[in-house]
Amino acid sequence: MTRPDSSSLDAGCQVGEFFSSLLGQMETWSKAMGKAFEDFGSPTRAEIDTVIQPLAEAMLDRKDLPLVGAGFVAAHNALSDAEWHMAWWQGVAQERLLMLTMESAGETYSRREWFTVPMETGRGHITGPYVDFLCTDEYTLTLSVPVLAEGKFVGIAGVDMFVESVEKLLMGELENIDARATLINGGGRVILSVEPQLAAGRLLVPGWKESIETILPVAGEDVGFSRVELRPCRDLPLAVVIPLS
Amino acid sequence: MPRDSSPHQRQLSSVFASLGDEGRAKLVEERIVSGISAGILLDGDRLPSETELAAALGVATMTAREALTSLRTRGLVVTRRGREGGTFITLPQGDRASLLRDRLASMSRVELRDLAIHYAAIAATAAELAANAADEQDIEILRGLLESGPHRLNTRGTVVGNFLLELASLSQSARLTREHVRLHTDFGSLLSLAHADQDFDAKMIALCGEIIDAVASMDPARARSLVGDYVRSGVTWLIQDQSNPETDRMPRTKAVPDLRVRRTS
Repeated sequence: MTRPDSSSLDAGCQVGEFFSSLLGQMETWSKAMGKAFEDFGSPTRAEIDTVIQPLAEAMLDRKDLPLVGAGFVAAHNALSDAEWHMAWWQGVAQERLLMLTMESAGETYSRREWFTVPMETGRGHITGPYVDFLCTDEYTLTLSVPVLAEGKFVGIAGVDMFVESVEKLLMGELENIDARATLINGGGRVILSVEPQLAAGRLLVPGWKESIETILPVAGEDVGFSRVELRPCRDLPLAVVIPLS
Repeated sequence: MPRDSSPHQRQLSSVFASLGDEGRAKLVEERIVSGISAGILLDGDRLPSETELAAALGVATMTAREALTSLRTRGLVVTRRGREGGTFITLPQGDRASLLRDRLASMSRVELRDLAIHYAAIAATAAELAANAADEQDIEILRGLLESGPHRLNTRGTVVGNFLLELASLSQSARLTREHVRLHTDFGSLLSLAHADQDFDAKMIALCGEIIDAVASMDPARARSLVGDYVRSGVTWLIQDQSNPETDRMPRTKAVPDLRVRRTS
């Protein structure tokens, strides 16, 4: 494998392309949801469900995207007839997610990264890999974008995918970059890596987003290299790192 | 014929072990009862419809209906008609504890300890892995769960139970987390009897604080050993409770073994 040079500096972005195009489509999706909020004034759960369901199902139907869940999660008191609400569809059968009581679920989701980051930053976010015991029960990656109605945050639009599917989809592209190329999330956690020793979920370069360096030290157990070259994927919370021995 | 006890034969027998002769409706019923005793389903919770329940559990609608009928007869659910209708859990105060006490009373010490060993194997391994994988945000979420405080004790699960579930998910293993959830409704529900004892609960919440410190300082061995301490304290409490002839008054306080002395390194 060739060592990274200036001509391949943009290579990380090709892997990031999958995520940025998906986030872009979700922005369009979120605009449609926001508009529905504005049209209804203050919608009920049933009203918003009828808007979200076809959008979510169309997203889940797409063969080119390995999605296992899609939908809308309401901000606190954004709907007229419930404090909390999840209009979320899952999997091939597109079954509605069962939630017995929304009060406790609401308390749970309102503190989760896929909800709080779009709410606080007003921008799309990639959460995970994480074990999602709320919805998929699997090792998951969640993409979420804020939904705004008249400039006010009313919830998030999101999609779930298994980390395993991302591996199948993007490993080839990563191999083209470097024999040890590793895709990390905004928190510096491994999403997938060509390097056999680096498991998904491994915290490798915490705090890379706050750093201006392009060579960074790695955290945790010794894997035979102590520094990586960082290639951020434009403005996404993603980067490709290449181990330096 | 002598029984073949080679490892492969044993694995084969686990594959072809009897599924039990209880009907499927009975299995559905028991699943819901265990949800109630684990405190996952609370008084007033609405159950999914017959169709949804059948689809979720992978049984025929008739089977789900039969299970619901039987739960209704036992007085554990009630069905209301109309727009806001549905099937709801009805559980008068204190009944959950008595469901659990019946179960505890029926268990031998051997069975109880074996269940605890299984639970500890999963929870302690998860803690060990979490100590290698948790970042600052994860630590904050764990602290938040402990600080949610005992006023939420009687809502859904115990503070410590929710804490250990979150910790399990930080292992980054979906399999370990699912196994933890499964064991949590099983052994964890019994432990909720111990957590109703305020003295026990306070000590265990303090112990979870130590687990956070171990995870934050990336000390997997200590995180593992602390979870082991928790399970041992729990099982000791349960066995003491079992052998106490006056077990129907709640909540009581009894001596919690101080395991700190055992941990010398």
